[in-house]
Amino acid sequence: MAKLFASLGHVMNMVVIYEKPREPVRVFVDFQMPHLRKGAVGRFGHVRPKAFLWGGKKYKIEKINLVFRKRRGDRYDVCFAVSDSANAFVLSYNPESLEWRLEEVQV
Amino acid sequence: MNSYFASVEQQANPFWRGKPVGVCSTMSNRGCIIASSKEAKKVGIKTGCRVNEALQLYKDVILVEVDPPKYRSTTQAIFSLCAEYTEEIEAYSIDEAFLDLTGMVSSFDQAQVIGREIQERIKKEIGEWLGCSMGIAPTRWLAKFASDTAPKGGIVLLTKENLYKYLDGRDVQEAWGIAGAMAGRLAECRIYTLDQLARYPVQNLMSVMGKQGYYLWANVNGIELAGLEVKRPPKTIGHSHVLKRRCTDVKFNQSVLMRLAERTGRRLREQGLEAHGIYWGVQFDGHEPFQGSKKVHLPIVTTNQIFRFVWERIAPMAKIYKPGQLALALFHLRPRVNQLALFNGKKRMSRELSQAMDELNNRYGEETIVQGPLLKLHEMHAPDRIGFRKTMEAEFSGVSNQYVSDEN
Repeated sequence: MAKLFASLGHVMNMVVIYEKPREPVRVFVDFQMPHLRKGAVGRFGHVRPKAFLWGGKKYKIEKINLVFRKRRGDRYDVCFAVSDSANAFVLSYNPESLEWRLEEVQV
Repeated sequence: MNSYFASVEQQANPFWRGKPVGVCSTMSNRGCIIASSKEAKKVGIKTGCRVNEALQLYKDVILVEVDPPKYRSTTQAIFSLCAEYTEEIEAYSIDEAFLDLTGMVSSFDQAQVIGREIQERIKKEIGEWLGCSMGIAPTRWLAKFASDTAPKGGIVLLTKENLYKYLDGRDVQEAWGIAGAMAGRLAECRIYTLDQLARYPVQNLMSVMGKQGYYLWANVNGIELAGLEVKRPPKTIGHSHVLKRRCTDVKFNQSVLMRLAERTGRRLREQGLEAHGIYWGVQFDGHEPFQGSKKVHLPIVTTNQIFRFVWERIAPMAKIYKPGQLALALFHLRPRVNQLALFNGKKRMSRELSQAMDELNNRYGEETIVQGPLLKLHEMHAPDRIGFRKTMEAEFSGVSNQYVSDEN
């Protein structure tokens, strides 16, 4: 979090501070299996990030606020807009390489 | 959907909820706010407001740059949810859809129950901050009118019985498709409110306004004229961009044009189409727009064809004057047949090269491999932009439920 900067520096009084690190991060994920999920008959298990390591610190995800897809060629990365008690983040997951990236940090 | 883009941003970032948020097209003082949250609207920041004006109105407003994939994906998820109730669905815009429930329900009350269920499911399965208004009516036009006039997050039910009571005293401009000029023409007939329009003798209206008069009268009286629009191939594909940097630098202008051409060409080829017409438009600083269009005999398929066609026409002026806005579009679109020209062998090589580049970009991501002029152009120039209307080329099904947000 030391590298935070106002991305909108050329506009006066902007209050949104965020950065786009786009760095690979290690994520603790819950791959909940169908048989463990209530009412999940015939459905896949879920991919649910629980926490991630960034800059030597562990951030515990308190809530997944929005899940959306971002196009990469003819495929899609899945993005998770998540938050802890103080910040909001966007994590992206590449379902092919199974790689996680920290896309955005919003304060 | 209510305050859609701003609501999606507030959904993604819970710390912005309950605060004025504006979604901007570009992050500059002259940038335009394309969506403001309900809290921002309360302090006077409305859609269309400039960034510097918004900051004058409320200095602590949260301004974020538009994030098209977020809105497209959320729209697709919402429309997929709606498609579970009926196959007859028309994606009218990025945040509006018509659902035809004919045959699915036996009464308007049942339709209202489905409406409530959809509202609840959107909040539960997609995001609790996403509110939508609904209109339920016997015709498409009345449903849109009811939805536009419904309270935020509410449902308005219009039936033959309560229709005239609902129209009573409402200004004609509240109706879908009636704006200043049309309202002026109606005022000449002494029609100021929608109930006056509904009760006006249709023959008189037609003698003044022709067929348009009948359409207006039929719409407010609940007579179906069109039904849902059938999904059909696009009539045009194009992109435009207001340049951040105004200069006569040929390389820079070429690179921006190439990005627009590449994006247009990719969409064209992805949909298996070829174009037989091309439009170009440039707004040079301090001059009248320079634009034109041409029908072409040989089909346009590749990015290079689009780029060269447009650049050859604008190059002489672009070397002298500073372009402020670039636009290009393809029309007369037909299914691609891959018919080669008899006397031009280069075209085939060009198409094969284009196909190979598409395959690489599909596999590894957009602009993994690009045409020369596009090299080193920063992503801030001609970035992805959100279209407000008829932008949904995707199907409304198959959205994986493997990745879900927390249920609320």
